[in-house]
Amino acid sequence: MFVYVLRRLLAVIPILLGITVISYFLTRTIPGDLVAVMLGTNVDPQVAAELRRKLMLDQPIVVGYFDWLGRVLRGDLGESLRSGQSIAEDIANRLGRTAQLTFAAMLLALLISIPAGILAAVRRNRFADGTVSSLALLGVSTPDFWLGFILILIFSVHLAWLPPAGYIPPTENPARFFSLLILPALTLGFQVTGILTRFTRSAVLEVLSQDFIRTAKAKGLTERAVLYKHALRNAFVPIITVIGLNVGFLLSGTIIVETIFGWAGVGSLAITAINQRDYPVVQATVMLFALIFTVVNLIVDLAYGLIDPRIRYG
Amino acid sequence: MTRASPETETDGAPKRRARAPRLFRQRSLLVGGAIILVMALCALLSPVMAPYDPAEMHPDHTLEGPSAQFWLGTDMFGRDQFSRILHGARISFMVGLISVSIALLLGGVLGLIAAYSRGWVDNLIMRVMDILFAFPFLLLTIAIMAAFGTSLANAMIAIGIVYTPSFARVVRGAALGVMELGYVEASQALGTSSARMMFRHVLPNIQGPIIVQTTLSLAFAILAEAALSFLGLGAQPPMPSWGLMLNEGRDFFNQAPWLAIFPGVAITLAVLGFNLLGDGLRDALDPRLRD
Amino acid sequence: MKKLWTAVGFTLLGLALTPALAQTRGGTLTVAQQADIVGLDPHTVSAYSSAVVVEQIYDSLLVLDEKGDVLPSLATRWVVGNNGLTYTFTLRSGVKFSDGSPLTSKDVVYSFQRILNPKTASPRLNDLGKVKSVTAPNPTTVVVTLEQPFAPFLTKVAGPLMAIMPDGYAEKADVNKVPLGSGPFKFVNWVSGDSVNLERNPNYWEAGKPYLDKLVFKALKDDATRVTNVETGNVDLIMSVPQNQVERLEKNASVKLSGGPGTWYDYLGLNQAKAPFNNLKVRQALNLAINRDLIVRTVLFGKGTAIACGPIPPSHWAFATCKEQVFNQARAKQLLTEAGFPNGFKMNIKVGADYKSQVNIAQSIQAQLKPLGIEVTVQPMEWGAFLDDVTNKGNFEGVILGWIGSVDPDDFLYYQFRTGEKFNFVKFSNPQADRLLDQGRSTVNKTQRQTIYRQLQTLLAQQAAYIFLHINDQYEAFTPAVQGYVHYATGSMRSLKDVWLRK
Repeated sequence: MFVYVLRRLLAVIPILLGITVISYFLTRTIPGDLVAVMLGTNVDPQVAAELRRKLMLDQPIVVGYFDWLGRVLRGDLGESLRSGQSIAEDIANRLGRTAQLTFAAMLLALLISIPAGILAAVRRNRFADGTVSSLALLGVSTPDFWLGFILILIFSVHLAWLPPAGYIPPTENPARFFSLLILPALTLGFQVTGILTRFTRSAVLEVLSQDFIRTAKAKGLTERAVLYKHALRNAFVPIITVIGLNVGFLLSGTIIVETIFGWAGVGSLAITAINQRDYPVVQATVMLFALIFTVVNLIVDLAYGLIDPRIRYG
Repeated sequence: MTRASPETETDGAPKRRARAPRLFRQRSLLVGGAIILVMALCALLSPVMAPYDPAEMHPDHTLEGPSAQFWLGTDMFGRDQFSRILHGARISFMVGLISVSIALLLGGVLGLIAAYSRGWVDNLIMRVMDILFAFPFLLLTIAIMAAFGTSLANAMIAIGIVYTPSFARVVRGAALGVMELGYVEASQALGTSSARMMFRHVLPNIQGPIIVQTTLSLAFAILAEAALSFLGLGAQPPMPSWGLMLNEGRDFFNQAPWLAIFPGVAITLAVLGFNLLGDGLRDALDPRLRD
Repeated sequence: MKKLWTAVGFTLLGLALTPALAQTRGGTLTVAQQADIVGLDPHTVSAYSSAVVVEQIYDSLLVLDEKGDVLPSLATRWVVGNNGLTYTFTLRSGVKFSDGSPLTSKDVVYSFQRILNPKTASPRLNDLGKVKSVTAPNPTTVVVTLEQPFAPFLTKVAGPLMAIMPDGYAEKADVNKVPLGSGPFKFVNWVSGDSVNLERNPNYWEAGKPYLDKLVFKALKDDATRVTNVETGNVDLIMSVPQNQVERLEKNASVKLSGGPGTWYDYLGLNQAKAPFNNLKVRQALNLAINRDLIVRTVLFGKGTAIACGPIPPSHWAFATCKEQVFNQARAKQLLTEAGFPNGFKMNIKVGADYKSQVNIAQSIQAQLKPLGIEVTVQPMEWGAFLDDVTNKGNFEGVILGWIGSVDPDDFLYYQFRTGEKFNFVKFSNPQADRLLDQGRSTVNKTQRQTIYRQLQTLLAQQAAYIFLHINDQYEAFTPAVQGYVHYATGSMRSLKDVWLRK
């Protein structure tokens, strides 16, 4: 067991390093004159030269990478070129908001998709299955940036039930927090709901077709008992792993959803930074999302090892 | 826009042996095929079919709702939205096909090399793929766009690169499966060259998973282009890209909601079509799933 | 006609209501603007989003009123001497910074010298002309000596970013994050990406003001979101109302609007270092071929004023009327033929992709030049690459750009049109124009300057230095509870100190 965990952990190290390499090199090549962007059309050569020196833009890129990596390992993500604020601090302020939104979306997706998927599997070939499967496919196919717009149009503009955008900490005003959370969470969770419904359905169907279920049925257990005692327990193992994969989906989604709904999290920070060519912030956010995704999947992998008795450690 | 739908993953996830009912399966193939056929025709014939030039401005008919003259209404310049959506299909399909071809080519070659050489080459290729895989898909696309600069061509390259690992994995997995079969080993023993063997024996036998992966990736590539253009990172005005039209239409959400509704419907339909087609093809083609 | 009557009706109603209501203290005003601030160091920021917050926290020696005229602020009196070479300011007595420390002439000298120090990398390094010295002969007097007369000096000093901070403050604190000034509000905190929170400065020198207890600037980038937020009362006031929404909001009883022509104008710049744009006839042909009214009607939804003779708006003392360059396609065609392009030519127009309205202007021009055989490709570019091409490399044929925030005619014209100057991207060069620009800059007498700048603008129009297009109207929208708000053509939000909320 210990060896298994250790091996998984060691295998992650080169991936983490690779993530830092890609995050750094991709964003150092952002086109255009950064200093010109920062100063606007108001480029005074003297001022520009001073700024270039301040930002160490003359440094060769490989030297820059190791310098940057060293600082990142010490927890220093640098400062935003735009606001001069500490990036680590800024991300720390925003990460909670992105986590709230992502958790809400995932929770929503699980609450809908698991019962729906099970229902479709149990009622295979029947009307309920057709309806659920069709809706799930529609969910998978609907772009979040469009859905967000439609939801605002219906619930904020026409019905005026929910606020169109904004963020307030739950500690400050919980009721308002939830009313602001509903639309972005729905938008973000919609596609994942579709994916998970389809997945749950096939996972349950697969387990239901396996030998031990037939044995259980043959032993005279009721359909319901078989489903709850055996089938679902076994189906949850693959479902958990696919949840891990979908965390990456949700993190990507926050870029768009946070922008549409004015939810000041890490996703909107990333896209703003890209639009403003604020490359230290782009590096930090891209790396952060990849790290979170890798760690979540590592945890899922380890949990998978713990849950599934068929996996042997060693 | 996840990693090409986790359901197609070969490792970890269960193989979808249990499938949709036969009737439903055939229906998805039919419906998906029909949607894609109609849209592909629109894309091909848009110069003939479209009632107006998509760039033609009618200054006396700005922001008009759907009418007999302008079926899906007009935008702020008085451009006919129906014509623009038809021409938009060209952009979506072109981006989809080119970016998925890039991914297929890169991923296919890398996957075959990995499967054939095994050992450290295999290890190196697949670890690099793992690293690319560690980035959430849309985020990596956006980061690549930021590095390359905004343009439709760069969007296609970025989407292609991001999908490369999915194809590499699918091709490698399928190729390994085929190579373990007796006849490949036999022909190897007979001294068939490796390239020849790959083309003669391995490739024809892994077509199924590749076709399925390609179809599903097309759905996501179209979605990704729309997302990039929506964020202002892909197609640029005055191109009638659906994502861009949605972005422009948002400004008129309370005066001319049709400007944002119809491009969204078009995107959803195209993605739905490829998803249905992919589902149907998977059930029909994937040998792992054959009864 | 109907519109006019409605406008008069509103004005009368406003006059009738105002005296009946007494200003009340207290409350929080939430203002939504387009972008988050990029920092609050008044001497280094340029962003508009930062400037409107800076002017709440800081004061300058002088201030510009809503029409752009100079009024006293921290300085109550100023004397121009030695033929425009020395400016002597007398400071207001009893002014305190928001931390309670008194303002003296030392603080002013420190702030000016900080701007003038190249190490600060202030974009306003050269804004005050060639400064010889800044001295403080006594605690209430500041003397600025110039090397040569510089007519725009006072309007520059009155700019909100020429802010006065306590002596040595930038060495003690991170000015960009923790600003300290003598303005009506004091800084509380900045939630990056979301909002800046300010509260009433109890030490503010203007008796009884401000009325508000708290003032919040929120960043809502999306136009549609900003509009929905003020309509639903989520925020109290929004800046940069999209032009396409103005007419709709005017009909909405739960929202009030304030605005009008601002100082933001757009133009088509032609690179005169390149053929065929070095040919005057080609430039004049384009000048006549573009229907400015059509652009105002479609792209600006009628919320703008077409201009042809120069960038200075009609309300300004240096406004020029020239022989109108009216839209005349036949004459344009004739000029093109004379220039040797009877069948037109191909050209490229670059534009910053972030600026939707300029991208739209480019698209409209593209369609308008088609009948002349001029095939335009519109190339929206990322702002960084765009600036690099246009401002550094001169790698463009046509460009759609705008200028904003100018007050003195020199701001509007000098750096843009003088040969070889820093903003002269289009490479316009005309000896007579250079001479007039120099004269206008060194002449202090306003009447003489008026003559000079009128002459100059007539020349610019005749030479088609820019294809001037239009001045944009700018609007703010707010809920009916917001009282006392005044729109500034300069884009300033100074009147927030006079705003109060009706309960």
